[in-house]
Amino acid sequence: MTLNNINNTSSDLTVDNLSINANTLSSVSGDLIVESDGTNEIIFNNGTSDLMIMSSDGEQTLPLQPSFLAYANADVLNQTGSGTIVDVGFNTEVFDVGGNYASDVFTAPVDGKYLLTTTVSFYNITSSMDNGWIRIVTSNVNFQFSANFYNLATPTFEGSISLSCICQMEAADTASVKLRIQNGASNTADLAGDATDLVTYFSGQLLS
Amino acid sequence: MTQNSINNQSSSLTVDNLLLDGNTIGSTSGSIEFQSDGTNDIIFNDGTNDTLVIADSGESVRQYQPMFNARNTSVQNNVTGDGTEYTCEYTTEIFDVGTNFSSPNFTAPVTGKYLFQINIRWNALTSSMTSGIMKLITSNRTIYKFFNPADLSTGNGVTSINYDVVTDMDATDTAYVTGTIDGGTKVAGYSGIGSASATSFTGGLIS
Repeated sequence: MTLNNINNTSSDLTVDNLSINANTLSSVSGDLIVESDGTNEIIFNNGTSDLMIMSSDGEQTLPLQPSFLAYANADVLNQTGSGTIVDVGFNTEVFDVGGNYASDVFTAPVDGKYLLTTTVSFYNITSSMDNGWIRIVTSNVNFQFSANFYNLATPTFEGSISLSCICQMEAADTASVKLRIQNGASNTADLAGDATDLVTYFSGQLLS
Repeated sequence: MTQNSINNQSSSLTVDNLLLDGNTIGSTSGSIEFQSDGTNDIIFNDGTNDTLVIADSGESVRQYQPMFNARNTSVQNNVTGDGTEYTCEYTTEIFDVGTNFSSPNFTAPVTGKYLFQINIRWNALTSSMTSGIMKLITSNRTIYKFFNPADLSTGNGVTSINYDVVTDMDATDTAYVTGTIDGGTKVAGYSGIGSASATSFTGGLIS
């Protein structure tokens, strides 16, 4: 069969400037162009699942790209206020592509640059709780935002603090969120959660 | 021409580990590699436009990836302050790839994960306005931020509040932003500052 004859040669198959050799489709000269028919998608598939879908309108989705969103589904009382550092809990997953999030910690599946975002809401803040911070703690580096927590909230109304970063993570590195509210008489500050709405959440995504 | 003869076959073509079958380039063993000639780009094209360009130096550009950045260039006065929940409008689009944004709504063109960034420069805040809520309202869920406008504002009654989130949307789902200031009268508003994006709503498809 003609096709088998080609297969059984050790030489490249060359068509114009396109060369096929081993597992590689390459260009001998000029740009390598992969083109659809103008109405259908270009799909990358691992043999089982679509890894990347490029629509005819140019949208590109990565259905298996590591990505997560988790939130606190209920209030947690008396967590900080007099300086205690809290490991913030996000006990409900909205999605966790790749299964890399567990027990309030995201673990990087591969080396890369990751976007991490968090917002933590709190209440029962007294006037003396005028200092503190939120941190995204990763294996390589910590990211911190400091604030006067009393000014973020009121004694009777919630406040929120947010932080985002793009960070370098190596495979198996971890990321989590810590919160500290200081100068209060005791740890009477509560962390807010809700069963359906996202008031305290942690999200992330492998970017590159 | 030999190549044309192959092209006209209905059978698959196998070269080493690469399998050409129907519309599919497959691997019978090992990774599939797309390789340029060392000086030019690797381009994925939808038949008309380059949808993914990977430069020889490694930069990847997806110029048709849905992405928007909208901001306010004018002042919106007297929209809240008394507990009124106001839907934020944006007067200017800096970019809107795919034209999926029409103030106040972003509509997801495909199912996927989207990054949103919200920033509002509140003004005309008074000392009695001690509670504030911003919401990103999507078809799937609402994402909150709480703040104390009075204590965060400057001497001229201004403060900026921002937050980000990665969330899931299905095709045709919408996302928009609301703000509520409470404790005073309906004199609070939000604004941009000239060319600065002081009040903005940005987002895009990331996976």
